[in-house]
Amino acid sequence: MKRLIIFLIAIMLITGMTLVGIAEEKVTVTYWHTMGDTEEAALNKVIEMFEEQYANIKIKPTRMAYDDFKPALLIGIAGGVVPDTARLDIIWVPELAEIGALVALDEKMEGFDEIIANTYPGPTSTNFWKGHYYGLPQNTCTQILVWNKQMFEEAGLSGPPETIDEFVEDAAMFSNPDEEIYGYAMGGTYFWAPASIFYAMGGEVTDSGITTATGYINGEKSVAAYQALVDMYRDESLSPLLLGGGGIGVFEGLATGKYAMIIEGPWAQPILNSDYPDFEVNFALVPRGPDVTTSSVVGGENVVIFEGSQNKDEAMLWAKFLLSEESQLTMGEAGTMPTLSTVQGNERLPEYYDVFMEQLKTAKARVPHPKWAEMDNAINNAYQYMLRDEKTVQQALDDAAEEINRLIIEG
Amino acid sequence: MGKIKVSEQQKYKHLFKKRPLYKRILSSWLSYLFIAPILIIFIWWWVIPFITSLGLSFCRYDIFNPPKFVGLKNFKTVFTNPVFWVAMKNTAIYTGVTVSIGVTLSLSLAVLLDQKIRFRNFFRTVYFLPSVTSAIAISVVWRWIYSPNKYGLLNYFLSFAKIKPLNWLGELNLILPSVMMMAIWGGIGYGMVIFLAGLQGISNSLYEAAEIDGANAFKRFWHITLPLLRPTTLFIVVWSIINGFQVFEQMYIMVRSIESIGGPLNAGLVVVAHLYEQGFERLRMGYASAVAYVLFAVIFTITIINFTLLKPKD
Repeated sequence: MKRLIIFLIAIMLITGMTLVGIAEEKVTVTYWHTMGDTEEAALNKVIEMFEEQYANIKIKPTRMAYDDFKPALLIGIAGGVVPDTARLDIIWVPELAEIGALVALDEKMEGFDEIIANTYPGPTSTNFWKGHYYGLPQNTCTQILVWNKQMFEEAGLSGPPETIDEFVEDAAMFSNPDEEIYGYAMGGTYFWAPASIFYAMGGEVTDSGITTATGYINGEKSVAAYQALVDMYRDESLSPLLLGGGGIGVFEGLATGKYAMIIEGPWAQPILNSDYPDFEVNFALVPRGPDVTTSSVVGGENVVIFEGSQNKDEAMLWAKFLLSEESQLTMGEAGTMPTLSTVQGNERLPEYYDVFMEQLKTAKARVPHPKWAEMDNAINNAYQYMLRDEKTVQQALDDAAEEINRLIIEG
Repeated sequence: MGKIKVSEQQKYKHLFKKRPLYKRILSSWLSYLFIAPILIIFIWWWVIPFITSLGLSFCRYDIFNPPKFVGLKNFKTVFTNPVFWVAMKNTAIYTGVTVSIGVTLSLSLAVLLDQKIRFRNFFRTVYFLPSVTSAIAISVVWRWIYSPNKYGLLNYFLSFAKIKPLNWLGELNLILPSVMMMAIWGGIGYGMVIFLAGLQGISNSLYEAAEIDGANAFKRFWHITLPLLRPTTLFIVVWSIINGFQVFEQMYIMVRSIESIGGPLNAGLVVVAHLYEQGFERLRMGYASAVAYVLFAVIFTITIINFTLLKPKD
């Protein structure tokens, strides 16, 4: 008898707990991103606000390393294990849309048109591929000049260079390779690194219809841009860091007086503030090239929803929430530039965004193409060949043009 | 083997008659149960992928769309792709150098540590230690040793000889040698242990007889140790070459940069890294499968040559 009672109580307890469980069962929406520490803290605030508003949804964020992110996604897509949502580098959207991994939001998301009516057209367009929008622009960015004011003052210079010629001249003046001091440093040879100088000098990768690279990546202006950088490297006014030498990172070098100038995105401010609290961060526009119609490079990230998601409806709510004014401002305070035009000039946003907004007016987007990663690689190889003196600038870019044409034809 | 006489065969006929397969399986079901786990894993993770990738190597397959038969196109692409040949060349250099130096060093160490010296077991342990350490952990530590600035461990030691800091993993002609140096260091312990086991099997009386005949230490090594170690050497050479051609982790950690999996201008690209990049980053599963089969053919051929050349004489 005693046993029976215990058994019955146990049954009741289990049933009761299960019922409570069902009643409170939450839908978990997974969200992958590549944010830094400051951004992640802001993201947690946004998640808190979201979960307060939608009590039945739980957001589970996962921070990934940028280098491993795309391979991890591709393997996940192949194996059918994908997050519900992710914040992707804008240049990956065409590639993932092409393989059918992303939900076409203009078809499936309610109120999509109203949302993008309030976003900047540039970042929004990076979600467009073959007639559909596959994401929402979560944040935008560009690269601008970050300079070490103390070094400039000690050298008797009144301010940062305004033209490419002044930039080259100033960089040469600062450089003292024996002391590992360089006028300018970039972090690598991948296209993003020299892209600001490349576009400022009127460089182009392909024609606007993406039909050929001949006469563009190996055109006169593109060659001149890379020639300028190669010359700076030869003169030792550009740090060997871009070929992995020296080992002092761009932020570290800038803040410790090893590099007078770097070209970086808005995340420079929070990173420098937290790692070098005493360092005064100063931004300026990328030096103007002879052609002033374009400058710098457009970056940023889009929030997308994966076709493999089991919680598409909840994921859409989350994506929309990320585009709300409150989340855009919260993230904006942490160095992530908003894409919502309605929050422009809001007092909660840091003042230094003004320079970035100014730069964005003429900043150019990279080639929106599923094969961009391979095109980037072709240009990167060309840059390596010229820096290592294996090919002339013209030769290297001629070969890159041929490679990019092949990628365009393959489609 | 002697043949059984026909009359005896008749006599024991019932023993030779095969029982039906299912009966035999049923009668020893327990044995099959014991080998089942490993058999299932083997079939699932080795046999099925092995056959599937053979099929895929004749197809165009991007994971999302069903495979499309393209005949030998993938193999044609493999052989005409200059990047594949760069990878093959690097892999061949890597294997050639690490195996020749590695096997020589392992044998030397084994012979040395077979002598009755002090702290023999300590040295054996020290040399074997890298073999039980994960390749990933070793690579991460060696990246730090090869750090390009003046604080990198290797550069720091070189600075005493007034040598300027070298960019070990960034200079095109230093990348492969740097990784090879690490691989040799990491691999000699395993070879050493196998050689030591082989040395235990050589009878001391052979050496004593040779000594009486007036053979010096080198002659004893050349005419007794080396020939009798032939089966051991065959095993180690075959094993190291297969491992060399399949090298991946070290390369992935040491030379992969944000730009490319094979390091700058593919100076450190090896075949498996090329396969991984094409298959899992570019989603060209057909092409990657073809690369895998070409690599398999290369390893298979070399192994057969090894067996012919190094087969112990009767």
